Amino acid sequence: MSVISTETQRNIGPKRRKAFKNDLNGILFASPAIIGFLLFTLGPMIYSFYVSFTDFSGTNVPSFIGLDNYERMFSGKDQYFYKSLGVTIYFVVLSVPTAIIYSFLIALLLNRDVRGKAVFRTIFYLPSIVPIIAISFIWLWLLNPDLGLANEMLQSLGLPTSQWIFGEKSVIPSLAMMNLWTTGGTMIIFLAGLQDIPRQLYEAIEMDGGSRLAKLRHITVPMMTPTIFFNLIMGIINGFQIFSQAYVMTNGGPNNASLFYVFYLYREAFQFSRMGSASAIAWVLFAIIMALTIIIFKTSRKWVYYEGEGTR
Amino acid sequence: MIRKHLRTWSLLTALSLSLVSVVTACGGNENGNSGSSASPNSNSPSANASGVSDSKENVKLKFTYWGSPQEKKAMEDAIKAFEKQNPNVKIEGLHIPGDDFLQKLNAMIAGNEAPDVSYSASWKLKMGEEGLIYDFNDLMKEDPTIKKEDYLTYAWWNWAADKSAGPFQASVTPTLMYNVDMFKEAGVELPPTKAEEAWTWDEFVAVAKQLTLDRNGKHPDDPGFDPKNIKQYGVKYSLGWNGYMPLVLSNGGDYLSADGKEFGLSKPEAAEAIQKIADLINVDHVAPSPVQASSIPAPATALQSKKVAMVVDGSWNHLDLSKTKLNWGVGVLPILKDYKTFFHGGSLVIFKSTKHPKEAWEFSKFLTDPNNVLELHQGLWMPQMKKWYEDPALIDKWASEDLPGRPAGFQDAVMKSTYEHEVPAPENNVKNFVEIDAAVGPALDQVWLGKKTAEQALKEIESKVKPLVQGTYLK
Repeated sequence: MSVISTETQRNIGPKRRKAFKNDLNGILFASPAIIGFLLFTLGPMIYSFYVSFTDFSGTNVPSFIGLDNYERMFSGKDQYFYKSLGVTIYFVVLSVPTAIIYSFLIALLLNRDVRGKAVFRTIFYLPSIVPIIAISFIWLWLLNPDLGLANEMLQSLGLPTSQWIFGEKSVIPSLAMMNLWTTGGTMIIFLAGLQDIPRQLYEAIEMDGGSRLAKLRHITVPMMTPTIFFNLIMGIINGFQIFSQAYVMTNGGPNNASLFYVFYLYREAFQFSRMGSASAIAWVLFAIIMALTIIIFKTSRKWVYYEGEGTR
Repeated sequence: MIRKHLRTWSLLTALSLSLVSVVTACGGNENGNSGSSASPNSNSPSANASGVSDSKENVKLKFTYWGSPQEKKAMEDAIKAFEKQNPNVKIEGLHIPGDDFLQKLNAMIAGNEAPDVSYSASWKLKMGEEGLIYDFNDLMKEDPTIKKEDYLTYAWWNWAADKSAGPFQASVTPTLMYNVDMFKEAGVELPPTKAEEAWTWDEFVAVAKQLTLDRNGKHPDDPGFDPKNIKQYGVKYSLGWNGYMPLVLSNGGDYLSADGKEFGLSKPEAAEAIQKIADLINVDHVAPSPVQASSIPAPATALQSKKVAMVVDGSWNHLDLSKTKLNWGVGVLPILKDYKTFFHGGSLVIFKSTKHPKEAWEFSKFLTDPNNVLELHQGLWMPQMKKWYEDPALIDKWASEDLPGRPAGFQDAVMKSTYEHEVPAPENNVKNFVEIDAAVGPALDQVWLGKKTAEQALKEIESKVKPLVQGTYLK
């Protein structure tokens, strides 16, 4: 008994030590990211949460004012809160589904084995790495109602022209359209997902006489639901935070039709010098996005199909 | 054995590198990628080194400012000139371009590295209320060479009736600028340069119509005129407050009511004036709409390219115009009833955290003296001390009509007309102006586009603006 236990002990000892060492190595390697998160993300988040209950202006000594900032927003005293929320939700509802459908279709095309497919893939991906400020300036010119290419093309086809970003009703659809051009990242993720679909499933449906549409409906889309799920969440998170287009192209106009939520936040902070209020606005956005993400996660069980899970 | 040590060493290196980078990022300027702000040498080391701050001891000042490359160069020259006059003072000039000046300034203040002297915008008022900057009145009390009466009456940024962040340092005013050749070609008489002879609004519109042409060479009143295909506009009127306020004032209206308790723009006199400007676009067809204006370049280029014959906008454009070969002129603004206009502009603030208030004060006085920044005062800015408008020798220095930035008629049309008819500008006079303007802007968007009348749009925002109306600072 004792012989075995000593031997066993001698065997366990080094193993446990090795396991501990492995853990320590892992933590050490992750430490830069952890420290960075604590110092630059979590710390400021806690501070901003505190500031949201004060009247901090950016330069004064903050004094506690309780829920005043939040009350101003929700009661409607702040005339821009509900408007900017509505504008942003409208943009998200318009841009996220269209972006997903569009990039999915392009990914399907890019997945085909054609000549020069590397060139095509590059062309479609490139706009997503151009800084959004530069993109905003390019599209400012493309969408100029008098001189821009967009209206020139519409006119030459005999179609009615649009005021694009200068019209109250057309500004958000214009920005949603512009957003499609920058969906290269989403496309690549879809592409990767498409290439993961096992070939034998397609072969099986071919043997059963399935058309291309059937392939799409019964194999491609179900197998892609995890990727669609991911892109949906990312799309919503990013869509709610849209800022540069309002800042560079429209200044929130015309008549606040493009007063995006983060642009409204920026204005509170740096034009009206109300950091406390801006922090409250930021935290409300955090709560909204968090709530939506949780909802989508909860409902995902119904429609996301992970390979190897068996039937739903 | 070696492998074991290698792993430990590489881990230690990785950890120490990450810690070093974190500490550097924290300890240095937390604003990271500010290309133009050098790693800040805060005042504290030098002040400590020099012990008691004596005027003969070495003094280091930090000065933050923005502006075009031209302005940057002029400021750097001014700094060098000041350092020459005051050999014990060294000034670190930080040029912060772009729209995030306040962000960077806030970060500097939070990091206890606030500058001594700085350009400032309307946020200085809040800083004044918070006790971050000096009350100019206090500084003036101790300096016998300067009196409040030396300055233009309304060229002050006050955060309370008797507390001032300082006078303007860079004054501008709305002006009418035009392309002389286009007038001559059309056979139209040039705009008047004396306030007493200013055009009435109707006269102004008539002239603008003569200078507006569509692609077929027709004027707005000609049959068959195509307002969708205008090749040349008679006038481009600034649609900001610096454009419509002079007209509002000339009609007897104002930003707020006379007692400062009500929103003034929705009242008939003001709404009428704003409507007249909107009519330039949608009824008279002599001015570009915001849509078309977005593709028309800045005033100097617009006049040069003959896209517009007249521009009503800020006088800072005179600098750009002086650099072109264009034959340009200035005239007085058109009016509805009386001639009224204003100066507006930025000012320098001195932070209370400065270790050298005397030197900072001297430097700010230095920059406000046109003698020291003369080139910018010959095109971009106008002086704010009364003597520069009354003493012929001084007038000659900055407003001589031989200067390229000062065409014939400048002294009457811009200098005298503003000096003799000065009222406060809303920007530095109306409390909460920035927020009220942020509500007025979108309302007027619809007016310029012809979707609502001025009266309708402004009345709609009356209730939203009401809680922001809290009176004035100056008058």
